[in-house]
Amino acid sequence: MTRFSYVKFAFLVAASLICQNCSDTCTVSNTYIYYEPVYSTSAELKAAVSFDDPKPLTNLGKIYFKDGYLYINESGEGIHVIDNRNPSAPLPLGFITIPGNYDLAMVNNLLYADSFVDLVVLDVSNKQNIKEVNRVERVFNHALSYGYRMVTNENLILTDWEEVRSVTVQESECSGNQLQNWGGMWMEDGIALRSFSGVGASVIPTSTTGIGGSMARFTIAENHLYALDGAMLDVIDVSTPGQPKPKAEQEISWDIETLFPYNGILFGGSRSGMYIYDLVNPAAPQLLSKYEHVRSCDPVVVQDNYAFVTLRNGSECEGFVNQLEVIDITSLTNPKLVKIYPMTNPHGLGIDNSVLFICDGSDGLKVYDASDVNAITTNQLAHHQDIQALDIIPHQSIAMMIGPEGLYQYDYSDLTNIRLISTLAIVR
Amino acid sequence: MRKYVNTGLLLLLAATLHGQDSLRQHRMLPFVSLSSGVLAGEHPQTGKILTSTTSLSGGLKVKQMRVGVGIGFDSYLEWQTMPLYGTIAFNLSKNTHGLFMQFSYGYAFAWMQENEFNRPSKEEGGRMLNPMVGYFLTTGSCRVGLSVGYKFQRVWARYDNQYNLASSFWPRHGNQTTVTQSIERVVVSLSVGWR
Repeated sequence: MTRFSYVKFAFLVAASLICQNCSDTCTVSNTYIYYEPVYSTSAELKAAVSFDDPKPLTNLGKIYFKDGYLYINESGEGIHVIDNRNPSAPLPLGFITIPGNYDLAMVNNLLYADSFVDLVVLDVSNKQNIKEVNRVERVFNHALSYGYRMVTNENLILTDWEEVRSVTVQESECSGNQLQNWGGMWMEDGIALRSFSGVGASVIPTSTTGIGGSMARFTIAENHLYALDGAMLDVIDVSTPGQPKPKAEQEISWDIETLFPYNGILFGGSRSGMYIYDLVNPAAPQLLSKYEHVRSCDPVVVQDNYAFVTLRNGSECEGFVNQLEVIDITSLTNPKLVKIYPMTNPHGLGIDNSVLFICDGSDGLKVYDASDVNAITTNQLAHHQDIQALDIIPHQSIAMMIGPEGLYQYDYSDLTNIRLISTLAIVR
Repeated sequence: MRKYVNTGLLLLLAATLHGQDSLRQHRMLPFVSLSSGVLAGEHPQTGKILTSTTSLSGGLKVKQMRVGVGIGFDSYLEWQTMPLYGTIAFNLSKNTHGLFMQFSYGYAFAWMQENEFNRPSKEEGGRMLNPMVGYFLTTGSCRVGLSVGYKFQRVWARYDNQYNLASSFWPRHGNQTTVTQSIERVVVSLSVGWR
């Protein structure tokens, strides 16, 4: 071989060795937003409770009426107190700041409200100086927290989720799926908090309790506060004023949403059906039956032998139906469907002396004479279409309704002329 | 992208046809070459694979050196690329046969073969680098070459707002994954050309 031939040969060998094990390499960059749990101490939560000047309504939750005063929950923040003795001119009196508050119920002048995992008792007898008088810690421990404990071993309480943007970069050999599975609790804004702010039921005033909206998860009956805590029903004895005593905790259903007491019976609305509990022993409700329906959100109200359930669809509610169902509960152990009426997107509802109010979402407020349960929609009394209606308390000829635009009040003393008498608008 | 393709083809055509006589005066002759071959390498999922590569290049030949531009089509299983490149080659022999070296560099447009689990929001190609050595034979104006070398190709894909198929929770906007993939292959190709 000449010297030049050696060079040629070297080129060939070099060429074949250039890339003996050629393969792929990947640089994977994941940019994602996730939520980190934020913890507070019990002392911090307690210190945050205060009664302040009126605040604008911004993000309304539950409503509650008692003795001429309206209590409107500001989701997660507290309660607006409104003097509604003159429904034509409701007067905001103040705002009770309660961190992590989504539900409320009252006995006499004591207001029971949740504050994350705690049950707070407030004395509202002096409307100029509402104050916390008691607190039962660690009552509500079953809220959906995506694997994080609501209360840590260090007694810290999960109170918020902080949005964090993160970028990770890693090298790999391109094997397998390079994509990040965006799932679990790192997703969706506020989803972890949503479990606190479920939906619920209503009314039946007694001499000592007030009236809740139909989306409530707190209700009082037989001297007991019944509170939905995730999939659990918490039973708290409130017979001793200001000294609530947790009595029992029993599992209902992971999709339970609302509570409605009626004549010693507790009705629970869930996405899969209506639960009926006997309160003969108020400290230990006994399940009598479950009426099953298609999956959807379903607040429930009851009058005489009929339960009225609205079913709606939506991203939270799943399902594909929007309707009113009338259920015969003459036999509490064997409830039977009587009639279905199509609706647009029904949310809360209320009934007063057979006058049925349905908050039909974007289709507004519908009022029916429900004395004939087989002909409800043919007996429509009013339809206010120009509002978004979410929940309502009809009481003594005044229907107090909330929607995303604020508080609306209607006078239905004349059923042929149900008219809007006042509004308190949301401030955006 | 069509603009780049057209530009490449025009350059190729121009290099081939432009002023052959005047070029000849400067001992510059146009050339055209069509290559086809295989890309051999290790695929992360399938192991060893062979895929195809094809290219067309043209330009000017000055003594033992050839300078030109080219366009190609390469397959990398889930990726397909269309490189536009400049190329320079040098014959190590003045005879009608012998070794040659070639170096190509350019940019390749890329497309991903999408499937149910791999559906990028955006995909882009990247730089292409291709050194080769080979052996050529010429008879008259016809030239045949067999070459072996290395090809580097970069591709990039972005996936927006991925969600977990096992979860019904949709992600918040802003979640994003980008994958920059560097592909390395051995190239063996056969070329047939004019001059």
